[in-house]
Amino acid sequence: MKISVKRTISSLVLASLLALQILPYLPQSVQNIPLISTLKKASLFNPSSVDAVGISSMSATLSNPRLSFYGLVGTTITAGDTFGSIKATGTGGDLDTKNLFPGDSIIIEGNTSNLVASISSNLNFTLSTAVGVTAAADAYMYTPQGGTLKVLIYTASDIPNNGSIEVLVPAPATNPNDGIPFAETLLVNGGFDTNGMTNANTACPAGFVAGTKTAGTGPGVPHKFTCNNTSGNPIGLGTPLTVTIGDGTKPLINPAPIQGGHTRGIANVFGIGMKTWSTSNGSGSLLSDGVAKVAPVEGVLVTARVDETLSFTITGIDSTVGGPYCGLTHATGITTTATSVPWGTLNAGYVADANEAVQKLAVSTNAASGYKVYVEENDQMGLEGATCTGTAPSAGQYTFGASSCIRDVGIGLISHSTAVDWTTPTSVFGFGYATQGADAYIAYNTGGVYMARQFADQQGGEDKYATGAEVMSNIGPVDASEVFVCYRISIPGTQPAGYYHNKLKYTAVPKF
Amino acid sequence: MSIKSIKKIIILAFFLATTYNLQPTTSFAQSAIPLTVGPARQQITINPGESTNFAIKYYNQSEVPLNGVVSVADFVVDSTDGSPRIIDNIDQGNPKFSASKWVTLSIDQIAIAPNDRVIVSGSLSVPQDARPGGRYVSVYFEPSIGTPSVVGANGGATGIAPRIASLLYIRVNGPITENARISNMFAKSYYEYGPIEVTSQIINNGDYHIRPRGVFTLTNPLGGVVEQASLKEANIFPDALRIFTTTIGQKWMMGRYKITLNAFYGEKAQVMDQSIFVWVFPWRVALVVVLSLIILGILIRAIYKNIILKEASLEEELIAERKEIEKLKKQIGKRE
Repeated sequence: MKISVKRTISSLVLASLLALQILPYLPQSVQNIPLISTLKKASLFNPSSVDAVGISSMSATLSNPRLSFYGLVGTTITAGDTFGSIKATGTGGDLDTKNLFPGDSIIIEGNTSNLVASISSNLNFTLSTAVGVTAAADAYMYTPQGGTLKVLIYTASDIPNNGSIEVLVPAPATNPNDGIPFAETLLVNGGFDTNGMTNANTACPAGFVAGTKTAGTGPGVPHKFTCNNTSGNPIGLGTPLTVTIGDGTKPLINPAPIQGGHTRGIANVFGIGMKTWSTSNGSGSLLSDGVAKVAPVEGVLVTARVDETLSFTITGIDSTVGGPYCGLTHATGITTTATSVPWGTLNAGYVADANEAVQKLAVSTNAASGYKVYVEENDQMGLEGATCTGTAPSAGQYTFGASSCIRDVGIGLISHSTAVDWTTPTSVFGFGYATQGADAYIAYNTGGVYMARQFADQQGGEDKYATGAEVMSNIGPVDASEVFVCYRISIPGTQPAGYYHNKLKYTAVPKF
Repeated sequence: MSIKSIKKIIILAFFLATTYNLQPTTSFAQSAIPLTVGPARQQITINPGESTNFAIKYYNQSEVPLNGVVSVADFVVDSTDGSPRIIDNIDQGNPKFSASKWVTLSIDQIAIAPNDRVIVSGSLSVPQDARPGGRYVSVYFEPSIGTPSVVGANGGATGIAPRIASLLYIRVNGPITENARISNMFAKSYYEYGPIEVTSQIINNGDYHIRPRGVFTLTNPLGGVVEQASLKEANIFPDALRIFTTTIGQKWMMGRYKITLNAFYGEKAQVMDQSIFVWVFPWRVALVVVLSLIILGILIRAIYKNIILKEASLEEELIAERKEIEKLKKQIGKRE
């Protein structure tokens, strides 16, 4: 009895073992029965593939690792406004502007894409164009950040012909495929938005074509992208294989910071899964698998403040060097300094080398409004600094009451704001100037040969700000814009001897 | 060599060295004074009764030190191109826009080392009863330049002094009136060719300066938009008028065109607009075309008359002649 029981048991065991050997040869539909699928692994004739120890090497790289921005409108943005604010509390992932940058493309609920012009403060920003539709407080706004996800593996086992690669990308719990980077409550609920992608937006390695793409639905159900081996040959182990998810038309959207729980500058880490399968579209036997990590984090705004500045330089000129200045070339001449025009000894009779002097004014500014340079003289040139009352001699060419002066040039309607062609300095006496340069108010040769003006006489009450009295100006930024100021002086033979002097003041000011 | 000789040599050497050092050296007058101020313009918003600070940097980019004064003065803009008028006399400032008495500088005399800068800080204290609106001051640096030195018994010299100014726009918070309008918009009523130069004047009757934004739109006689041009953004001082000029359109235009300026300004984005009509008609080209057509018509008519009609006439004559010949042939045949 005992012997027969033993024989029976032995026979059953042997039969079972023999039965296991034929399981791999049963129809596939039978093999797919979970119990059969498990038992057939015991077959000695055709053992099924076993899970590999892992992919030998794997990496995942985001072309744009910046976290998306997702916030709520703080104060209602009325249609026509270009000013926006972020709600500092609530369910927005971003509660300030630290993840928002000038030039970002921002979408405010109900509106089309707009550009962030500048960040005004921790909560405020400006837009490049006015919003078209009013966005009430708590309306959402976001700037999707994304690009491509490139996954590289070195397989640890062959991928048979018709085998496949599967990439698993974490999907967010909320609307994981609508292109909006919603802020989840927990990091585990976060993930990448596939932005309505299809398999056409997946680039596969050589020999592979994109297989099925299945949108994920949240934690535990990631997005699945597959590439099928259609090369007709197995892909040998150790082959580098790159799968790129997303492209220029459908970028993979990075997650936004989680609600209220994200620390600025600390990356959110997500695992990107990669598997190889014995058959297409991520089916059949698992051949190898692995997980790589990606870590989106806020961008870093690099800023530098450039002051709006105005630079003004007065330079003395040796009139024999360079030129011609205001149409005149000098063989010998006067060398001015930045602070003086040293006429030296003046004689009756005009000689260009003795009666002409030049200075250079240069202005640089980055002020969008431009600049203006005014000039004034404290008085006409008085003998030993005497006061020259009025703007013209009380008698003759040099008498100003009890004083003798070298007058401001008198010819026609000339004044500090009206230029007149001073062509005969041998007979028309006085002190005046002409200008040369692109920014000069009037060039010496515009409408004449030497279009001269007087300096605005402060003693005589002349208005240096009057229209036409400016020396040089521009309506926009300039870089070292130069104007040569050509001083001319001529005195009659009866001019009393002595030392005459006055002082000019140039004022450079940005335009309003 | 005796000790006396050595002493003599030392004394001589000392004398020579001292004499050499006492030689007058050539001194160069300053050939350039490069000055920079920053920020050139800045804006401060403040409540009545409050105080705040600001800073202005003055740079001396020359190789010599510069000494001078730093002063505060009110400014206004009474020109149409935005040029500020600095009111040097504090008592002559427009009280509506004056704030120079509210500003205290940390220092009024500064010395800037070569290739260095000095930061001048200032404090602004706004009285409790200050009227809300804009106040405008400039802070300027003026190096001290002495009277030019005498170079001859009979002669002259002119001293030159630079002055560089920074502008400060102060907004005193409170109920600020914003009121501006396009006071005038004009262009020549007729152009032979485009483009059209349009000038618009915007007057700011508010309490604070504005910076309007807007576009000029050119519409053709059929109502289609031909072109749009942006209004140049520029500040307009309160109680001041500013002129904006733009050029719009192409060379070849024909008909009555409408030019509209739509702009908005102020914190409440208030709107202003105005339109004008301009005729554009290239009459010389049109005249040439018409004359050409007339000449062409005359030529065609002449060709028709002189060639085609004449040819037809000749053909008719030829046919008549043939008929005549046939007739004569028949008559001759009958006689024979």
